[in-house]
Amino acid sequence: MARVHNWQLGRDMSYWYSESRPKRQFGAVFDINKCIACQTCTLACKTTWTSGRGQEFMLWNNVETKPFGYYPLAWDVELLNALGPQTWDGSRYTGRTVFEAAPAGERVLGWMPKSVDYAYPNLGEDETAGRVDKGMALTLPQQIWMFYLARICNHCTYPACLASCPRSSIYKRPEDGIVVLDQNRCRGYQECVRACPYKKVYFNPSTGTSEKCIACFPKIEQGIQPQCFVSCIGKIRLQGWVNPPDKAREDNPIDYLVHVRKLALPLYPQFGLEPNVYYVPPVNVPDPFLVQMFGPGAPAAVTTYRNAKDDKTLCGLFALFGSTERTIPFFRIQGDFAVALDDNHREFARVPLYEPVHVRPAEDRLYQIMRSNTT
Amino acid sequence: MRMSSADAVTRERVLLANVGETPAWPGARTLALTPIRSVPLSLSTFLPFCLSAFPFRRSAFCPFCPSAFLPSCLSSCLSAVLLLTLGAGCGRGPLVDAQQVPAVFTTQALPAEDPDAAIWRSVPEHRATLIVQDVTEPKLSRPGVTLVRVKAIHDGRSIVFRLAWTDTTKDVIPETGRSSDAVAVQFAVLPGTDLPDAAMGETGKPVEICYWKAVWQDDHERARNGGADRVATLYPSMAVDHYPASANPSAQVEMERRYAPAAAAANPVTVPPQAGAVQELLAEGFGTSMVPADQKATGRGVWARDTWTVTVARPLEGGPGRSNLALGRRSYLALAVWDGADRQTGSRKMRSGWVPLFVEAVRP
Repeated sequence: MARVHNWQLGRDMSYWYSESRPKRQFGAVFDINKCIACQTCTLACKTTWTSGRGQEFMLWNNVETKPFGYYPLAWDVELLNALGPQTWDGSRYTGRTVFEAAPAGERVLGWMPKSVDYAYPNLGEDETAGRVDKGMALTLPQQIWMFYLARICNHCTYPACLASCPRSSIYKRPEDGIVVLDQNRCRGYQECVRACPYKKVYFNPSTGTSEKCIACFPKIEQGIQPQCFVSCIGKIRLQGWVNPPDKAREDNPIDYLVHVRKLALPLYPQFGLEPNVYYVPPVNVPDPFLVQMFGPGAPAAVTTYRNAKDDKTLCGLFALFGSTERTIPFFRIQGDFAVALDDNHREFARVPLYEPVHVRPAEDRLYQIMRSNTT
Repeated sequence: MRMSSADAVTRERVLLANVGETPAWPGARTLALTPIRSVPLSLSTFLPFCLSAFPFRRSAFCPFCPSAFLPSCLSSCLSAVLLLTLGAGCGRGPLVDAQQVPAVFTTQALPAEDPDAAIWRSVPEHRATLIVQDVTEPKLSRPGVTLVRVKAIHDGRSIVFRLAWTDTTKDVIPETGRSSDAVAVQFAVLPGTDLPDAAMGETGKPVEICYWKAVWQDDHERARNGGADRVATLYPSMAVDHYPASANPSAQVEMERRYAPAAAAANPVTVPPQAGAVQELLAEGFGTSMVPADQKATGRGVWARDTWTVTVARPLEGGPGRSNLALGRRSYLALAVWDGADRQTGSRKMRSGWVPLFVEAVRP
């Protein structure tokens, strides 16, 4: 076991291998407030990667409803239960990570799902946290809530899957930090399936090996975003590169949202893996639930988001989400436009912050007729 | 029929030989393979044991209580009595060699894929003890199979091991949370008594492993019967509208690369071994096993009445870089068993230490 630094926990922690960050780290931000659970992302991934024999149950990208939805069943609550108290002292985590809580004889605190746990991915879909009782009306804050959590492999800095493999069949690509499972070397022990806290590695009974999200790395290598990002109807996703806090850059979209504005938060940081997919938390959800899921920075992030409409930089940056298939390494706001910049800081796309507005008078003077208001 | 005391001594040597290089001698073969049900117990049979300068250098284990050390003279008598009693008409069980796996020689055809062949009945058996794998994480937390009954027979060119252990469930096709039943026999590649760690060898001291897996055997059987593949067998009622791989025959290779990369890469765990269900591996410590291109082992398993019985056959001479089991000499083997129902796979296994193996010399 080595000691490594996990900035999301604000402290060092134990990990099976020593710290070794990649040249660039694949990073993403998902804005939960915009997700409508249309599952287009899920289908994009399935069509591209998991339409083979033995992959029928796999959803490398899935969208589940919180609080009562899971894929696989109880993936997070099982581990939260086993992990014990997850306490924070400000922004410093004082509980145990899944590595520190590993039982004797194990490398990671994990649990093994059964194949039936994957059989009902729509369980809990659209179920609210409370009942809709007679006489209830829509109020703000909302009396009942639910939200959609879209998930892919987080391509963690300290992956549990990687640490758990006895054969070192999983590795992190040094050029982009994408976590990949070697299909030639895997012998199907399923240790990774057991260890991943997010349950994003899946065992293929047809090949006898385990498989996982590859962040569409062939697309990343060409400078374009993964399938699930590009196909998102709600434009909730943006892929870029994320740096540790000491190397964060204000003109890097992911760094800006994660480090500068602290608006995008990791998923269950207390597991200790330093995941690299960050979430803008849903504004309609009570704080305790958000803190458990996204860490102590969640309430402040909600406040920031509620005030985003007055923030030109934030508005512009969110306008870049879903605006181009290309990865956006850098950005700037130029007047009333958000500009996407490539690795050399050269513009390759721009999006207006304000929609052009045209007003059509109700009366058409030329034809002496009232215009219809239907389109 | 009264046996001469010389014949009785011969039998005793074959069964209990714990010296390294005892050569075989004429007559021994016939005696070794003949069931000894009709041997009467007589004092003259045993007296030579006590009085001869028989080289029992160390005390033997009582076969019924391995922790009991007996003085060698008494143990030889007692063992002889017990062994001969077992064979002498009580018809209860096979001959047992408590010290080692005695691989007996035969000129008959080897039962390489027949665990139920009649020839096995006359082959002595060794009862190997298994312990949990607790050398490296992940360790096995719950003990499983603790006993494997091992028999071995050879014809001077190939050797066949028969392994039998209790397993109340037949676990074949792996799926999430379940693995395939399996057994492995391990040999040291480098000759001599400086053995590597029984836990899959050490750097510079490789081991060779013959690994039988139930699912590979099932793959062959299903293919022979024109039956369903693994997924359809797991889910008989499944229905799939369309696989992209089946739509466009000319894109099959590309489709396989994308949707079954393990198959496209010819991962040895995806494609069952060519012949039989045994795969040979080489390893120099845990986590380092690799599958060499040259595969010569074969085998077959049968599950019946809560017992797996598996034959593993391999050439005596593995060739360069592989293990060679020399005739008339002692070598060593180790065993590992995986129970799929308990999700035993990889390093979560029951394993033995090094067990002596004596390959009887060829007799004309």
